[in-house]
Amino acid sequence: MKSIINIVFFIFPLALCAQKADTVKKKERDFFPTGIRVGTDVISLIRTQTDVSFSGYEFNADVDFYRYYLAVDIGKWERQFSTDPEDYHNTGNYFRVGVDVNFLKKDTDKSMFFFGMRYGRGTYSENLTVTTTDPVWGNNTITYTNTDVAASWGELTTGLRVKMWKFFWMGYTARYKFGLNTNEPRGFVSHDVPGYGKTENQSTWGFNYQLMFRIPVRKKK
Amino acid sequence: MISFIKLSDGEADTVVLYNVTAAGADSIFYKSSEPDELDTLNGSALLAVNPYAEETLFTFLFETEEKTLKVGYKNEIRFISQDCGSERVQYNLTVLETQFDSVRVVNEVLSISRSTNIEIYN
Repeated sequence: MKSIINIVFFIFPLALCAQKADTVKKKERDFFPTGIRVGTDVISLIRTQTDVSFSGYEFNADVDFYRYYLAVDIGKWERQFSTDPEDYHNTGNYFRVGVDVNFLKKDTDKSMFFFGMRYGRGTYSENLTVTTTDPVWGNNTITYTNTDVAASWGELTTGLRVKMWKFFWMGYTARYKFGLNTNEPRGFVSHDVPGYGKTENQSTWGFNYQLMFRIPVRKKK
Repeated sequence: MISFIKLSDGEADTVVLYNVTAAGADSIFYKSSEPDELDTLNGSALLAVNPYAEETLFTFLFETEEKTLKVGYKNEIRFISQDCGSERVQYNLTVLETQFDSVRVVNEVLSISRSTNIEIYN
């Protein structure tokens, strides 16, 4: 009789748990995109107007796959440093591609606080004209050129995306750039890589402030 | 910078010569203040390679003979900043031809730090 009671006491809670499990329906992850966000970096546009040595722009886009976002950045960058005996000029394009992970996935507006990573790649040409004054060998003006140089690097990113009004979004991205690799021939060391910055920095920081529009593809289930 | 070394004991060698010149340059690197008088190099000579070429021929005019030393190198330039300008480096220094008996490259990077690049043994 005692053993029967023990069995009843053991099985009864299990039966209750089984019933409870049946009532909690696990929500399926929805990996189909709900919208595409496209925008531009405001800081590049402001620098183009205020910094005589810089000219450039950058477009950004991302698309959601549940809490993961495929992010793509495309940009153009031009630098010009002119001094009396020397003139440096650099122009090129770059792109970054990577994934952001949203830590505000329950936000109904789909606002984002994210961490992510990027692979960056740039192609550029640069030239340096130097007038040398040498007491032994005399004066000479030489132009050094690097053409179609390729560069690649990695990035760790973090930032925010906030819905401001209907389709209009604002946000920022902070970037830690590292692992720069360039393939210019010896003789003229690259000074600046579009999308990365000065080559003398083995790692560096970047910051973008973005204005974006979100184009909904479908409603979230 | 070139250092003269005694083959017998490895110590710095004092060299007496009229002058040292480089092909293509008007300057004379070492010469006595009086014409036709010998100058004394106390163990080393600071010479400037041609920054616009990748080889330079130096001629050492001694009292009784003339010896040449032709060196090769690569030029590299780096733009530092708008304020600092650019920096030029010569590297891969090699001896292409020489009439000296024994020559050794000890430092392949040329700089103004006055460290020895080539040792000449007499």
